Amino acid sequence: MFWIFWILIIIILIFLIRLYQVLPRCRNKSSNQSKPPFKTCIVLGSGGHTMEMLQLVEGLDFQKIYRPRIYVIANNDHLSLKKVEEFENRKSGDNIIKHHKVRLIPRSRQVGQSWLTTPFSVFKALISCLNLIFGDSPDLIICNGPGSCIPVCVISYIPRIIGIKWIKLIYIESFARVKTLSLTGKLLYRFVDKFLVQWSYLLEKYPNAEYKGILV
Amino acid sequence: MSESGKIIFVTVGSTGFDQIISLVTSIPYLQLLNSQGFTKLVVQYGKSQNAFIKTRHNQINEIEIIGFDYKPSLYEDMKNADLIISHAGSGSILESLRLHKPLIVVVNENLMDNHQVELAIELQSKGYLVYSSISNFLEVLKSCTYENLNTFPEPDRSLFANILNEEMNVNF
Repeated sequence: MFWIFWILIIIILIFLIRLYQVLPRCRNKSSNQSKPPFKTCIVLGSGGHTMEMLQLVEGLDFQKIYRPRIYVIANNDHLSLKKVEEFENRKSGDNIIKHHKVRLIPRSRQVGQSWLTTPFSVFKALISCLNLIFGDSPDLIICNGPGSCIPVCVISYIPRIIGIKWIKLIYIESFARVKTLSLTGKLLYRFVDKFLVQWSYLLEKYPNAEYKGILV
Repeated sequence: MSESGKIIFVTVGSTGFDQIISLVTSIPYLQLLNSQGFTKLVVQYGKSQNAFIKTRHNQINEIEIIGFDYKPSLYEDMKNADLIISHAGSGSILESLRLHKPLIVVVNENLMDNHQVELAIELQSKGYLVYSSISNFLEVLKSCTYENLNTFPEPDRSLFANILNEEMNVNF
């Protein structure tokens, strides 16, 4: 039975080496040869996160470059759903063809949910992200801090580790974060391809972050 | 400058903030508002409905008081206001600053979320808003420091697009 143990060790080692290889800092930037349009996944959260995200993507070229768009929304967040439809209608103007869709994913954990049932809801969220990553196969994921960023980014590493697709991850820390990162920001800091902050104080502690001014 | 008909808008966000609601509807405060030329007080009280109702008998003739719990968008109320009193939520702060409205941010010490205080203090140090605690709120309002704030810079909508285009190697 001892050989099972060794096989497991080897599998874990291969996984870790491969994970190390696909971390953003180990990759040559110019190797991105794909051409637009880019299938763009935009992860929304409730309230402030959604407002900031829609302001961020407001300036993007939706007609030629960033299309189609897939918005990820928590399945009980009706307000964000409404905001997305308003936003897309306003941006597309007279253009009748729809270049976006919405994907609802269950929350990993509700406020006040028991820790006993949390593993099940996390599992459901991950399954739903599998559908997103392998079903829609986005080229790029933009997120700014709600909890739902985590399962989306975790699953996006599967095609990256296997070597079939490098889904680019862009993270923008909220304008609200002046001197400390959010928990989501801290967790994703080493794993995203671009990590933007909106206050320069954060660069002292997080030198791989980039600061170009207030973005919202 | 004519000061007739000024409107003050108070917003507490998605939670409640009893102390600020009780304070803004108290008699000394209403008298102060009156002396500063305000004629209308609009209150978004969120979950602090009880605090708002309790003080409804506090009326002075010169000031009309309107209250509601939530609205899908506070844009119209903010746009009509001559002064905004807000909780420290980044969304409300940003929306007020983008409308170039004088803004006093009152931090809810019960919900002491450290990063919210950091944001309010940072924006105060740049002169974009006035930061106040509950205890010195009346003094802050009396001093009128909110009248001489700096204008928050206009957003550069192309900034993020340029960063992303560069990252994606998009040629123009």
